[in-house]
Parts: sequence; C-alpha cells; structure tokens
Amino acid sequence: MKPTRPPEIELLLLVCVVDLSPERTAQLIQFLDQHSIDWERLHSLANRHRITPFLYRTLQQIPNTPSDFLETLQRECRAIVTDNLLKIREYERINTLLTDQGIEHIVYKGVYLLKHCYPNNGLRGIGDFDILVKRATLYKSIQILASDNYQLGPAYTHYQRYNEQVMLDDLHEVSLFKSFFDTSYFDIDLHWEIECLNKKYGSIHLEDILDHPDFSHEGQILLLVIHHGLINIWQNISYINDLYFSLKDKTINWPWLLQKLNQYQLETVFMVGLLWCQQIWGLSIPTTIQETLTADHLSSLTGQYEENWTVPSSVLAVNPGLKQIAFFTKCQNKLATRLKIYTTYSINFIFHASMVNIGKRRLYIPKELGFIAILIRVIKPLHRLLPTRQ
Amino acid sequence: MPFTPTTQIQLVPNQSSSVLGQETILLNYELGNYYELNEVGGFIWSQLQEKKSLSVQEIQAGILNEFDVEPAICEQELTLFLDNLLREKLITIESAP
Repeated sequence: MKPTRPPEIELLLLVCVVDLSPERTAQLIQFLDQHSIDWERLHSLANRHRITPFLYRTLQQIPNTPSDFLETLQRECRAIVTDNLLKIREYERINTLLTDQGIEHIVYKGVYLLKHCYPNNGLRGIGDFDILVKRATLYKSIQILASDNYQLGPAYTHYQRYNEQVMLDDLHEVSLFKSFFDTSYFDIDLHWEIECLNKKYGSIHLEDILDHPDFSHEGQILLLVIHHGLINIWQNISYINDLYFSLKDKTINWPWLLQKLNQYQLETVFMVGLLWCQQIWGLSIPTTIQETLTADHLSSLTGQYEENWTVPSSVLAVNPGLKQIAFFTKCQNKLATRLKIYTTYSINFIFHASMVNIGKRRLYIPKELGFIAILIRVIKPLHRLLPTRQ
Repeated sequence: MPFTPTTQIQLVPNQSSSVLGQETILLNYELGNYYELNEVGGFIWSQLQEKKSLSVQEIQAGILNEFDVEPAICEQELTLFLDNLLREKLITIESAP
C-alpha cells in the first residue's frame, strides 16, 4: 500500500521540473491553497532530499511564496552553484592530470551527471569526486594526486605502513582531500572496484566499463543503480532525479542495460526508480518495459521504499547494511538469490578487516581474524560494566 | 570608451557560469572573483556563450528584441555593462577592420 505523503513531500515532488508549464503553475497554486505547508519542515526536507535548487527555481515563479523563505533558498542555491563551478573546473584539471600520466579512469555520479545529463549545472550539488581507476594503477594514481597536494585520509595511512596489497583486498576505495578555501575541501573518492552489496556478492571494475565503450553510459546507469538504489535504498528524491536525467533524451540500449542489471539481480531495484521517473517526471519508457512497471508487486515495493523519505538521514545511517539487505531481498523472487544475499552479508560482516583500540594501542586485525574483532567489540563494553577493584 | 557598434565581443576562456532562476552566477578563475548578473546581464552573457562572438550592435539588437527598453538607454546601459565586463577581464574585444 502506498503511504500517504505529507504535503511537504508532495510539494517537493511537484517542484521537480526544468521548465515550469502553465499547467504545473496552476497545480502548484491550487496545491498551496489547499494545504497548510510547514515551511521549516519543507526547507529541512528539501535539504535532506538534496533538491533545494528545484525548490528555489520553481517557487520563485509561484506567487505568495514567503519572501524570507525564498531568500534563504537563494543564498543556499548561490552557494551550491559556486561550489559546483569550482568543483567542475577542479575535476577537469584532475582529469587532465590523470590522463596525461596515462591513468585510465572514469568519473561517475555527481560530476558526470552534471556535465553530461542535467540541463543546468546548478540543479544538483556535487559532493565528492567519485573516480574509478584500475586496481593496478591505484597507487600510481594516489602518487599523482599526492604530488598535486591531495592528502590521503587518515583512515588509510596505516595501510601504507602495513601492506599496500592488503588495502587492495580489504577495501574498495580511498579518500583524498585538498583544501582550496578556508575550511572548504575538494574530496576524491578513488575507487578500484565498485562493490555491489559486498565484494563476495559482486564487484564492478573499470575494465567492465571500458571493455564496452559503446555502452559506457549504460555502465554509468548501472553504477547509479548500485549506489542510489541498492546501497542508499532510494532514500533521496534527488536519486530519482539523477536516474531520470541519465535516461531522458539518451539513446539507451535497453536490452544491454537490463542484461547487466540482471547479472547482479538489480533489475527490480532499477524498476523501482524507473517507476518514480515515470510518475514524477512523466518519463517515456519502451512498451516492453512498461508492462513490468504496472505489476502490483512493484507498486507495493515502491511504497515501502518511499516510507524512508521522511525518515531522518541520521536514523537511516544506523545499521545501513541491514536496511540494504532487507530491501534488496524484497526485490528478489528467487530463494537462491536471497540466500546468496544473506550469506555474503554474514560472511562479510564477520570476516572484515578492522582497527581496534586496546588501551593506547591501535591494532589492525586482518579480515581472516575478523571474528576476533567482533569478540573484542562485544567484550569491551562488558568489561567496563565490571566493578573496579579499590 | 573602446566600444563602437562594430566592436566584436568574446568571452574569456577562464570563466564559468550558471543560470540560477533570473540571475546568472559567474566565476572568474583567474582573478578568483564571483559575480551575479541580473536578467538582462544574464541574457547578454547567454548570447555571447551561444554565438561565441558578437558585435555591440548585434547584442543591442538582441536586447531590444527581448526587452521593453528605449534604444538610447539600452545603448548607454550596454556600454556600461560591457565596460564592467572588460575591466573584470571577463571579455575580450576586437575592433572591426
């Protein structure tokens, strides 16, 4: 069953337009006449869903929008636009830097979407630069970026002391950052594989994208579905917008895309996003796929995902892995796939490398001994409960 | 004033912009400066982006076609605006042969 949407969420969906038509203007005016809007909540939800630019651009054309509300949005949007312009330029510089040094790579999500899919470079904010390189060139890439004053995040430096090969096996990305103004930073998430749930379940490497140059955009959509739909359970309306703009007016090889999604059992996760693209944006979809979108099961599933839209991000950040597998298994109709999801999640939970603080020492526990780290984490709080000797 | 009706105007490469509703946000990377253009300024900027190079009289004709403004005021304001852009190193100019 579809949850009843709060008026603030309904309004956020209505403002998601590029060019405001007279019909949508009338619809918005009527909606605002009929509903009492909690403007503070609307503002908070717009930030939570990362669609402040759409809210500002649309509401500034709607009469009687509170002026102080619009001024607040305008300030925020100016900051987003300025940040984007600086980041796009910085990415172009990094792109040249890596290319000149022979590092094959792609950028995906934020910068890619703004440069290649969105009609305006201020319609979404850019967070980190997500760059995918080959596993074999990771350390060379880090060196190149380090020589350009990017610093490796503190969480990764111990790997450099311990064993670089171990880092490649334990992790799938490292973060690098560089200060550019005051307290502002350029952040790079340098990936050498994109985990689909976890490494044991499946991973995508740069070679998987580069080996099919004719379908590189479809490859970008696959990465988007993994990040937005699987890992982040479609929790933001901006994720729907990203999917919409990556499909709109693009020549998509649908059989190839669906086959790739199916390879990782992501087809239903994608369909959930696609259904919203149609409902919110009126996206035209090939008739063969349209039949799948009308299934009752998909509508019900979309409603369950949508319940997360009013849950604060901080709450969704608690045990995100459990939420991911809960929704991912709901998207599967084969028992074998569900079992694979549970099994790989459990193995990954127990056998993953970690750093444990014992006294003043910080110990690295390799993934093979991951159960020891779990034991230490269980015992440490219990130990604190024991009475101390006088 | 260096502008005549046939002076050709071009944007410098070291800048970037974005349209935010009625205004246009500009960054000049070389000087590290930030600018906000109003609707008319944004219109001129978008014309220069689209056509790459325009003469002053072509810009003026575009403004008169798009906005309700007296030609004399348009010319005066346009010259002032272009002068500001030139001073901020956002455009280059070339006199017609």
